[in-house]
Amino acid sequence: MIPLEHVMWLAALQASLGLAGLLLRRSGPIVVLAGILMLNGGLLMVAGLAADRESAPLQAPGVIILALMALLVIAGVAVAYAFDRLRRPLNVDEYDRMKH
Amino acid sequence: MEIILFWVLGALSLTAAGFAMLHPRPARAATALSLAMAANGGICLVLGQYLLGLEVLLLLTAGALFLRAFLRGREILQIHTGGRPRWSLARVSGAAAAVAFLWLLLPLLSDLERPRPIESGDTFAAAWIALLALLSAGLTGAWVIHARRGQNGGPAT
Repeated sequence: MIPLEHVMWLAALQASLGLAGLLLRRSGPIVVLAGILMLNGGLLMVAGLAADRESAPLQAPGVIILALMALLVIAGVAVAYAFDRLRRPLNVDEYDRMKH
Repeated sequence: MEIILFWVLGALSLTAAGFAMLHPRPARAATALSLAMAANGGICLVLGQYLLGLEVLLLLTAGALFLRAFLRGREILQIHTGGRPRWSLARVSGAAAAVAFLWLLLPLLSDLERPRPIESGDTFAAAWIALLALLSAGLTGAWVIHARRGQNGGPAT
């Protein structure tokens, strides 16, 4: 049996790495990947709690997080691909307006 | 023994995640993140959460198929954007929203810990339905790729 604290530490480290990527990277696709990494940390936390409490209902948030992850990948890749086709830069720092 | 396996997988996952966040090219970063996700799937299996582990691995396979079929070799994954980041309101508020999401998730989980024997079966069935939905989405994706390739008269790059 793995202690819950170990799982929580690993999940927190993963989420922090994702947060650092979200804040520090400029490439659009990598910012999407950073978001996925943060969700991965959340998923690990849910899996750890479900294992610790031997609770099946706790798997439901895990499934929701997985669905969010899939949505993020699809939406992120679609936006990046559309920008690429329109020959717009993928540097997220260049987009600082809500219009145009 | 279990804890050693857990930390071996954890170290692999963290190294791959760190590499993904540091590498300038999205293609290699995506590959490294896939490795981190595979390690996470393994961790779920080590924790005894077989359904979640299988779903992570299934999602990973679907993602890899998607990347290979649609984006392999395209310029979008080769773009190098180095240099110092610029702080923006959108970026900081996005990060704050992400932290708030994780913060709000914790009390939600403590609510869910109460044993609910009648509902647990339903939730478990819902998780299996989600797994089947993911599987069918993967199969549909594969069919669409196959059809598109047939239309174009050759493999998509």
